[in-house]
Parts: sequence; C-alpha cells; structure tokens
Amino acid sequence: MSSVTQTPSMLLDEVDDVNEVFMASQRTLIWWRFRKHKLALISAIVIIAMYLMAIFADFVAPYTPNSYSVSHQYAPPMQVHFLLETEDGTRFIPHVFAYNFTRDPVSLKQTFEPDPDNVVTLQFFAPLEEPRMFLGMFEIHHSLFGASVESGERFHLLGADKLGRDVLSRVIYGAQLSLSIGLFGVFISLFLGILLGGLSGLYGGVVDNIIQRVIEFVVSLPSIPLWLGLSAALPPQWSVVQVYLFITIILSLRGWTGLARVVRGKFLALRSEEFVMAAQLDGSRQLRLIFRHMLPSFTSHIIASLTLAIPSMIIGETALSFLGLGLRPPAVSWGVLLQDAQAVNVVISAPWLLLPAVAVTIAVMAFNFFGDGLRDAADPYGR
Amino acid sequence: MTRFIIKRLFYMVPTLLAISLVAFLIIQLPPGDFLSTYVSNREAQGEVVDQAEITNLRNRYGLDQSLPVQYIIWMGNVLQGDFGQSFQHNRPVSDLIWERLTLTMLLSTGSIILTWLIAFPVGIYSAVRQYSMGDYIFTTIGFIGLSIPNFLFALILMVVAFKFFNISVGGLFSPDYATAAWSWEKFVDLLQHIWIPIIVIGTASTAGLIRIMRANLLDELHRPYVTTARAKGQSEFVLIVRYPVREALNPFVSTIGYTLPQLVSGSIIVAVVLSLPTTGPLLLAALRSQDMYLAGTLVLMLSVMTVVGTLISDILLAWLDPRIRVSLGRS
Amino acid sequence: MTKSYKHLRGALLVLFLCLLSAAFSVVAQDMAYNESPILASMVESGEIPAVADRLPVTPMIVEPLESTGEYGGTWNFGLSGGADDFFFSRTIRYEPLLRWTPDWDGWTPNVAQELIISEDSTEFTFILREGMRWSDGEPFTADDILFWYENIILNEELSPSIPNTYTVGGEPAIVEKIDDYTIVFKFTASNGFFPLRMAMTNGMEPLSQPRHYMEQFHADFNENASADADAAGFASWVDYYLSKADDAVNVEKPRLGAWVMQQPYPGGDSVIVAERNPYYWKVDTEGNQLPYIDRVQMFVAEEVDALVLQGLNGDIDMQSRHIESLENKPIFFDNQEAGDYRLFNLVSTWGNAFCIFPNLSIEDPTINAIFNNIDFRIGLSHAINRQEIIDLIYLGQGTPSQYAPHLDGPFANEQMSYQYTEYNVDLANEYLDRVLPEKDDEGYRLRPDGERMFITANVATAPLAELVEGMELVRQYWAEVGIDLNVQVVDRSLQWERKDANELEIFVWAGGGGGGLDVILNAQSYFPDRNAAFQAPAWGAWYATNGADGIEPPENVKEMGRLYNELVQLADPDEQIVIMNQIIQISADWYPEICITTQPDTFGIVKNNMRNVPDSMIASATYPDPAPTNPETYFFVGGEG
Repeated sequence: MSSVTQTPSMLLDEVDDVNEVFMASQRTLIWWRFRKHKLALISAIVIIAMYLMAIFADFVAPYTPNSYSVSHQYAPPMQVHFLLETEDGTRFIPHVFAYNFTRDPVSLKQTFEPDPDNVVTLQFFAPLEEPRMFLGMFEIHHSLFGASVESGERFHLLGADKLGRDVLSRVIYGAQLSLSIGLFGVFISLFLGILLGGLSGLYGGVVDNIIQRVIEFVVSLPSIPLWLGLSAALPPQWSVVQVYLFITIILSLRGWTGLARVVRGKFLALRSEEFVMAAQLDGSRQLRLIFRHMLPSFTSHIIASLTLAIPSMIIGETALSFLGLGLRPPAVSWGVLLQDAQAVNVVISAPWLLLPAVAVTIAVMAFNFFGDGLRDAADPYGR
Repeated sequence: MTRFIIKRLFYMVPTLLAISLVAFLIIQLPPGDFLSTYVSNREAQGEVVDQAEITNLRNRYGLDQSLPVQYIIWMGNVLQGDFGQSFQHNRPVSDLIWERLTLTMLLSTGSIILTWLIAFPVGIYSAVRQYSMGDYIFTTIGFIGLSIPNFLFALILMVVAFKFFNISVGGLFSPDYATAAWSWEKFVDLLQHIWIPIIVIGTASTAGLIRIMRANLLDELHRPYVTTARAKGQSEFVLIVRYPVREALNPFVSTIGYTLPQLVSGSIIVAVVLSLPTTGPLLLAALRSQDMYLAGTLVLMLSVMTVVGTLISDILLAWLDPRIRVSLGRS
Repeated sequence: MTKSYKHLRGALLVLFLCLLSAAFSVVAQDMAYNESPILASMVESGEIPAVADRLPVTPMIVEPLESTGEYGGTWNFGLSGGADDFFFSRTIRYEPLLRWTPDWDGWTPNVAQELIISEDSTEFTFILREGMRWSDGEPFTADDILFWYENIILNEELSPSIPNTYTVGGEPAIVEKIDDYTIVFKFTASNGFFPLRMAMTNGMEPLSQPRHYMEQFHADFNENASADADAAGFASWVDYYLSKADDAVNVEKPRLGAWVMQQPYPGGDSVIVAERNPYYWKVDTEGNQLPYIDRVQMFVAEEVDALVLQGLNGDIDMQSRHIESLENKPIFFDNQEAGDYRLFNLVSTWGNAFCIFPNLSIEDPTINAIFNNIDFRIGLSHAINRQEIIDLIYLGQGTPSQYAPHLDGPFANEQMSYQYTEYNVDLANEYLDRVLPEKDDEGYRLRPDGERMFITANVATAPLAELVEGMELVRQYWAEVGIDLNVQVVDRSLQWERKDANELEIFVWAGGGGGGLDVILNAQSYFPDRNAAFQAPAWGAWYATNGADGIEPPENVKEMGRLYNELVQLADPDEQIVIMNQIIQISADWYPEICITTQPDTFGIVKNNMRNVPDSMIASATYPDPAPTNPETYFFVGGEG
C-alpha cells in the first residue's frame, strides 16, 4: 500500500541496495520501519521474554506458588551478596544470609534479622527438594536458580507473603494466567467489532439501524451488575478458571461495541472516498471491500485500540479481583496477588507485596510501546 | 436532521424496555432475595432472627410473589414516577439517589474536565512533535498512569498522605464540615479532599485519551490535504486545529456518549476505597444485598443515560463531519 | 462451692442490693443535681426546664469506673458501610429495660428501676421510673409499653406473627398496666430466659414506640394515616409507620439514649452526629447528669482501610469494631505515641476462631452418609496441623482446640476442647481408611460410587478474611490424606444465602457461644438451635419451627433440643448451668464440626485523654461491647476531646 511516488527515505540506510526498497513486500517494509523505533523493539523483546517466562514458569521459578513457610511470614526481600570469604580466599559466590525470625509477644510484630553466620549459597540449575511437573507433562529436578538444598533455608529475592510464600515465584507463575486470559476475549471483540461495524457503516439504512440498536442494548447494560449477577449465579462446582473464562467471553461479547461504533463512523466517512468507489466499480465483493480496501486506511487506529485492549484486559482482571468477582485463590494471577496487598497494614509494613503492580505496569507499557511502534510502522502514509 | 432525531427517539423505546427487563433479571440472578441477604447479614453479626420476623418481612416486601408479577408491578410504578422503597434503607429510592447525585456529578464532571484539559493539548503536542523528548516523557507518564490499577493507586495515595502529610483521607469532607451548611470554608475543605479522587480517577482515562488523540491526529497529519495546506502557506497552528484536529475528534465523539453514565455511576471502585458518598457505592451495596428497587432504578438510570449518550454522540458526529451529515440526509 | 452456699450467697446479694437501692433512692431524692454547661445555658434561656425537673424522681445512678468525669468533648469513631446500624446499639442507644453488668455475670436494672419475678417465673413486673422523660421532654410511662404491645405486637398488619421473645410454648404473653409506672408481663408457663432477653438488645423493643409521637402514624388512632402515607410516597400506612418507627431512619422520633442522632443513617451524609440528650435519666454518684461527653461523631467509611488510617492518625477517640484484626495490631502498636492513643484488650467470647462445618443435613444421600460418619470427621481433624495455622494466621496467638466453652468458666469440658486435635497424618489415614478406603491413581480417595471424593467449601471474604488463607492451608493438609477440597471464596451474603438454602457442602465460619452468658444464649454451635444453623441448616429449621419445616434430625440432636427447651424456662442460673452442661456433653460426643483454635484476644484503641474506659472488655454481639461498660461515663480530661 505504500505509495511508489513517496520515497521511504528513512529506510535507505537500512538496505544496501536502493532498489531493494522498491521491491520489498509490504510486510518487509513494516518490519524495517519497526526496527527503527528502538523503544518498540525493546518492548517486543520484553513481551516475548514475559511470555517465555510464563510458559517456562515451572522451570524458572525457585518455588511452586503454594509452597509456604511458617518462619518466613512477611519476610522482606533478601539482599544478594556476591563476594564470599572462604578458606581459599574471596570467591565470587552469590549468596544471601538466612533470616532469624522473632515475634514480639505484645505488639505481635515479626522481625527478620539477617544472620551473617548462616550463609545460603545460590546456584544456577539448582536441584529441587522435590521434583516438579513441567506444564503437567514430565518431571523436572532442577530450577533455573535457587538456594542450595543442603542449607535447608529459603531464599526470597522479592520477599514473602502472609503464608511465607515466595513473591518472586508467585509473580512468575501469575504471568501464566494474567498474560493469557485476556487474549481470547480481545480477539473475539476485535473480529466482531470490525465485521459488524464495517457492515453497519458500509450499508447504512436498515442494516445500520438494527446493528445500532443491538449495540445500544448491549452497551447499556452496566458491567458491574452483570458481573455480580453472573458470578453469583454460576454453579458452585466450576473451578475458578472456568468461571473466569466464561465471564471473559461474555464480556468480550459486550466489548466489541466500542470498536464497532468507531469503525462505523470511519466507514460512513470513507464511503464517499474515491478509492472505495473505484473498488466497487471494479466489482469487489463487500467483504473484500471492507478488509482489503477500507480497513488499512485506519489500521493505525485499530492497532491503537488493540494494544490498549490487551492491557486493559489485564487491568480489568485485577480490578474485578478486587471486587471479588474475578480470579480467587488458590488460582495465582497478578490480580490475585494484588488482592493480598489490598490492606493498609500490608502497604505500611510489607510493601514488597505490591511488586505484582510493577509486573502489570511493565506488561502494559510494553504492549503500548509495541503497539505504538507497530502502528507507526504500518502507517501507509508514514515518512 | 430533525427527522433523524425523532426517528432515533422512537427507536429508544423498545431498547429501553428490553434493558429494563434484563436489568431486572440480572438483579434477581443470584440465589435468594433481599430478605435472605438481610437475614444472613444480621445473623452473621451474631443476632438471632426468629422465624416470625422473617415471615413478617417477606409479607411486607411482597417478595413472595412470582418474578414476572414483581417485574410488572415495578415497571408500572416506574412509569408513574414511583421508584419504590429501598428495603435496606427503609426510605424512598428517589430520596437516596438524589442525595448523592450532586456530589457524584461534581466529582465526575471535575475528573472529565481535568482529563480533557490535559489530554487534548498533550495528545496534540505528542502527535505534532512525534518522537521528541517531550513525546517520550508524556508517553511514559501516561502509561504509568494507565497501568497502575485505580484502586491500588488510591490506596497508595492514602497511605502516602497519611505517612508524609498526616492527613487522614477518606470521604469528601472533614467531620467538622460534613454536616455544616455550605460556606466558603466548607468549599475549601471539599477541595482539600477532592484532589485525591480526581487524580486517581483522572489518571487512567487521561493516559488512554492521550494515546487515542495522538494516534488519530497522526493519521490525519500525514494526509495529502495537510501537505497541500502547508504548501499553500497556512500557519502551522491554524493548519492543525482547523481540519486534522476536527477529524481526529471524530472517534472521540463516538465515545463521548459513554461519559454520560459515568456522571451517574462515577467510578465505583475508587469511591469504595476512598469512602466517597457517591452513587457508586450505593449501587454496589444495593446489588450485593439485592435491594431490588434501589438497584433496579440505578441500573435503569445508567442504561437510560447510556442510550441518551449514544444519541448525543450521533448528533455531534453528524454536526462535526459534514460528510456524514450528507450521507445521513441521503439515506 | 456447694449449691446451697451459692444460693445463700445469691439471696444475701439480692437483699443487699435491695437495701442499697433503697438507700440510693432516698439519697437520690435529696441530691443536688449538676448538669453540663451547655444545658445550663439552655435552662437559662428558657429552652428546657431545670435539671431536677428533667430527671426522674429516682434517676439511675451509675458509678464511673475510675473517677467522676468532666463535661465536654466530642467522641469520634467510624461506621463501616451502610448496614452498620447495629453499631448504634453498641454505643449510643443501648437502653433496654435491663442491662448487662460490665463483667457479664448477669443482668441489672436499667430503664426499669426494678424487676420483680414471681416464684414460678411466669410473671415479670417491671417498676419504671417516675418522672422519666423521652428525649423531647414528654413523660415516659407504662402507657408507652402497653401501646407497643397492644398496637404493634398484637396488630396483625404490623406484626403478622409474634416474636419468640414474648411467647412461651407458642402462647403469647399478656401485658397489663398496673399503674403509670408499673407494668407486668404474664406468661402461661415458666419463662426463665425472659429477663436475659430483656437485657439483650431485644429489651429495647418494648421501649421503641413513644405513644404520643407514634399515634399519628397508626391507622387505629389517626384516620388520615393512610392518606398521609400515600402523600409521603409509601404504599401503605404500615410501610410508613415502620419507616417512622426506625430510629436510625427517622431522627425525629423521641428516644431514651444518652445521645440523639441528628442525621438519618444510612443516608447521604458521610458523618452522623449525635448530640447529648437533655432528658437523659442517669446521673453519676455525685449527682452530675450524664453523659459527660457532649457529642458523638460517626464517620461512615465504605472500606475499613479508611478507618484504619484514621485510627493510626489519632482521629478516632475510641473504637473496637472493624479495625481489630490481629494483622493490624503491629501497626497500631507502633503508632501509639504518634497517634496519642493506647490499646485496650478485647476478650473474646467465641468458642472457636476457625470452624469447618460439614453440612450434616445435606440432601445428597452419598455425601450425607459420609459426612455423618464420625470417623470421617475425626480423620479430617487429625490431618490438620493446627499449630502451623495458629502461627501463620493468628500470629502465634491461640491454642489448638475444638469448638468448646472456655476452660475457665462453669461450662468447661476438656474432652470437647482437646479431642482429635493431635496432628497425626497416619492416624488421620487410619480413620479415613475406615470410611473411604479406595483411592484413584493420583492418591485421592473415592466415594462408594467410584467417583473421586471432591467436596466444596465456601468461605467468605469478610469479615473474617483470615479464614480464606486458613482454608488454603487446610486444602493442602487434606490433599495429603487424599481428600480433594475445592475452596470457593465468595461474598459473605452469598455464602450465607447458600447455607440458608441448605445448598452448601461445607460452611466455614467462627463459632460464638464460648464464654460468659453467650454459652446459653448462643447455643448454635452446640446443636442446631435455629433456622439455617451452621452445622445442619435443615435440622435447625426443624427445631425452630417445631417440626413444621426442615428435616427431622437424629435422636441425639432432638434430645439436645428438648433439653434446651427446658433450659429456657428456668430462671435459676445454677439450674441453667446443669442442663447446659448436659447439652454440652452430648454435643462433645456427637462432634459435629471440625475446629482449629481458640480465639485470641484482640484489641481496641482509645485516645490517651479519654477516661473511664476499661483496659479490658468482653467482646460479643449478645453483650454489645462497649455499651455495657457505660459509655455515658466516658469523658475527656479537661472536657476537651
């Protein structure tokens, strides 16, 4: 779709042969332009890294998400030291000091003192105390890194929660649900939104009217009452994740309306554009008209919407968990983890429980920068 | 144009009826009814509620009748302007909602205005000075605001206010002014309390708006007509405002209708965390306890607002974009 | 102590009290009264009569805990959400006919100056106080109580059925006015529990309908009642009447408490203010009219976190509800100096902090058979590591225990407290093998029909949020012994609705009724004594409706019901103790619920300049703390707060 009359000058330094630019396919052009946007590139890497971490969580995380410890309740993050004094001199051995745990009998406050005499060495490919299932398929006996088993002590890089569970491990496992659960719904919304919005805008008249009324109806149902009602009416035997998937689908059946209205507005405006008329005269079928000709002219807006939709699903999950309508323990997602942090005494005395918010923020930012880059790269009128 | 509006108003009626039906059903979806919630609440506090009382109450609230009958009675009353009694509060529903409406609208309007005031200029700047330092800074701040869940942000701000400023935040007034008559001091007190809610509510939508504004404007700025105008010697500022911005507002306007229900429901979650006396917490509590008439009326109000908002959106859209006006005239 | 000595002691005590009250009534009449400066200036401007005319001839004399107080100040505390009106009964309006003693060892006169009980406990004569007035200055007499009984309780439109408190064996009481200040309740059979009920918040019901004000809304007294109701937007005069009778909604209704609410609740206001009642009928031992504190300001918070922050900041003067979870103790403790407050102790009356109730009346026959098999419950109990739960969830406070009465009271039962509390996985497996010997490949036990033993427990998110984490640990313990437990975390109202509908498999809550008089007043965890009882909702319904509703329970449960019916007719506390202990023993042998730990004491906060607040008080809904500790005697040093 890039116009031959415009010279994509910024790509000239990317390629050795000028002619390659003119012969390159649309996809290649987009990729080259994307590469220039450094922030977007980094974000793409971050996103891939996060999804990899989620998939390989069983290997990456030092502990399973439900492994608890009585003597590490609300343990603060441990500081990692790198140089250790041994009989053979100072060596590079990453280690932490185990905690001595005391509780004040009157105020009930727990205090953790690092004990310099109790050294816990850290290893890569650390052997596990108990074998773990990898994605439920086969057993593994090592994790990416962890505390040496001989010390018998636990290692909490990001601290521990109320039951002494490792925050880092839970954040890693939490990525599995948080990063995947919104995707499904978003794509349904996307497809429905473009299709119905396009039809509505293209045809106008009766079709438009009906679709508009349906949109109005769907949109006017406020979401929180819908959630409350649905979550209370579902059978008690359903597992938490089943419930959430079901409700996500229901809501995505509602979420397409925003995009549909926008698409319709654009289509109404574009209907009279020349290139549309040209395509129609050419004999294009309606579907082809929508997807091949009219859509790309506001692809950037769609991309902007999409990249805002995925993170908004992630945030939506955390918000609903707060209201008690989304995922609940023992399922582990970032929203569930933030629920634990949702109390004054935690924010004041154990603020490391808010770290999942950092994970959410990084994910959202990565998606947004990535979407930005993609939008700019795909912009047919780009410089 | 007028015909268009009248036709739309006409179509609103079946939509609203359908909504009222579904709203009613949603409220009744959870098992039990208001009475079972009421009884379980009291029992959970340790009180002993005896059978006799339960029968009394069931009778009084008319909860022994079948669902369709209850719906018809309710709709009949609503159409006459009688919104019923709240079981929970033992007062007319209209009183309850009216009390909270002013503050809710104040808060929502404040947030929306603040959001637009910030988002539009920043979005335009970001688009015009794409990839500049300013663009990156605004983008980053915007995303951070977008990424942190509202309620968490509210909680953190509350703790920060407590730890560093020794203010205990909650509600919209200090106890001394809450029940006093309106005065300058009371207004100042309100301002002191209202900044946290507005910041919290505003940040998320501001960031989103900036992104969309930027994206839309970028779409427009690269159009041929912009190059033409520039070549013709139009000043940059006028050039941008006159056509691209108007165009970029197009998708905005489509969604402006949705701000109307916001005015009424006003960010439920943040209101709950910050103990704001707005309609949001009222709705949540009513839904949880299945306070049928209160919840039903609020949901109906929200839905009506949305439908009206959609209509307004369409009218604005037509007004803004002459091409649509013409095509509507045609069809 | 032998029984006869106890009786002699009791009799002597009663005699002494009579003499004392007689002495006081003489003294009271001769006392010169003082009043708050605010009221004094109102007297001067002629708005209200002089203090001697506002007080009854024999006002109630309350002895302050530490010292006579000073007038002045505002008591700030917080309410949670819109359904917290029970909190008013805990603070500003606990004025039943009788009240609990601060130590909760019995009742003592309150609005009623004296209660005379007939020999056979069928007639209860209340002597009221001559000259006592409502908050609007109108006289309070036996007519008000009579009006309440005849025109509200006996009025079929307002009360389609008569509350249990005023019936015995299904027969309603007869209420007779002897003179303006004497009124008698006559029952057809002995009703020993009646005075106890009159000291609970139920005892405020007879005093809730000031005749001179409520008449205008009652159709029998005002022919325009229906028209008025219509004009005000109500469907019938009954709805209008009831809304006017609710003193939280209708703040104009005259009342008897120390402070009078100025705004309705719940309403649009985020702060509810209550001002002192000029006609409050209590004085301290020096003749100062109570209360000392001028105003009460209650902040309505939607979320408890706001209250916690306010408390830490020193904005709350005295509070024990909503903020008292153990989790909060460290931060409240640390902030005492900065916030200028101190902590006081709340002694729990619960029988257990964390109880798991398998539904013994569940309709599914397979599960019903398994749940009702005591070996199943014993096995599950031995599989739980109680000390770990105590360390993690209860911060090391509490001791492993089943649901049982407190060991330092007259109902102590060691068997009930300690049976099956040992953490022993092998023993647990032994018991479970007797019930569900078959297992599947993953090690989970199978039911007799071959399906995996998969059970669902419902636990609420609030107010006992710690149970959610506790159940996570229980889930892991039970997985060790082959039981697949699904823990559903739901909204409290949903959980209770499902329980009420007899739909739940396992209900998780705490168990009240462990200490003080709560043992006999709140017997739910001993046996299903009410509709939708925790361990067997349908059996409870059967008992509460005398067999009309619900499902018939087995013999031992019915026996406990019969014994309890006997109990409520007895007036003698010692006889009550004997019967209750019999019930408790049957319950111990039955072992219906699996519980974890004794409830640790919690805490409340009070500003350092506020006095006459006890360092330790009992916490319960039946003893609505802090009300029985006489909040009307709380005061601020220097009159400023």
